[in-house]
Amino acid sequence: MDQLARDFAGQAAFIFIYIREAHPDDFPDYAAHKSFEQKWKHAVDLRERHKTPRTIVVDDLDGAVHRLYGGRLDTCWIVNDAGRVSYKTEWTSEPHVRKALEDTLRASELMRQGGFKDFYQESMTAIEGGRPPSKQESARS
Amino acid sequence: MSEFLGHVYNYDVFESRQGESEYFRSLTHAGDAARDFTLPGLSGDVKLSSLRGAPVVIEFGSIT
Repeated sequence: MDQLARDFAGQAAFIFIYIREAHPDDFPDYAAHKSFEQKWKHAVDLRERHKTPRTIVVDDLDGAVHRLYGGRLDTCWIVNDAGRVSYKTEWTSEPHVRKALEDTLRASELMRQGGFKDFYQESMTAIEGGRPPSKQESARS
Repeated sequence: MSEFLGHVYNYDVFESRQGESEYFRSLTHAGDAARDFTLPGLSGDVKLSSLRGAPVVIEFGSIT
């Protein structure tokens, strides 16, 4: 996703919202949050570790914005230039997000040119074996 | 301790949560106005609606 942000710099904004720890039991240094300060420190560590070009924001301790957007662990949403949702997925896959962002930009450009009064598209990513593909599987696709 | 869909929000041990996927799917859909928020960021506060004019890609996640 960081490469996607670099590739589309100047065309789209990229926000990473730091939420609850997904697997605190697997990472002794990143236990479940007991305070907002702890959550903030984890977000700082993420920025330092990945040198991400994305804007990192930190949700409150109880996940108010996370809940507002469904509460799943690794979701991605695209909001178009008019403030409307153009894509949502409960499992972030960079190739799929890239395609959705290209579609979103293309639709906005067509509307600016007057080609479309409205543009609407829906898609559903296949669920493999009853579950979404893992990040590793998605990276290979 | 805060709960979400009947479970502790900041859990200590990961477990698959019944009902979360269905809840996610039931929310805002393509074409709907995005729910606005303002959050503190490592480089300053961010208000979603102030970013109008370009697409915004929002990912939710953590270091783990």
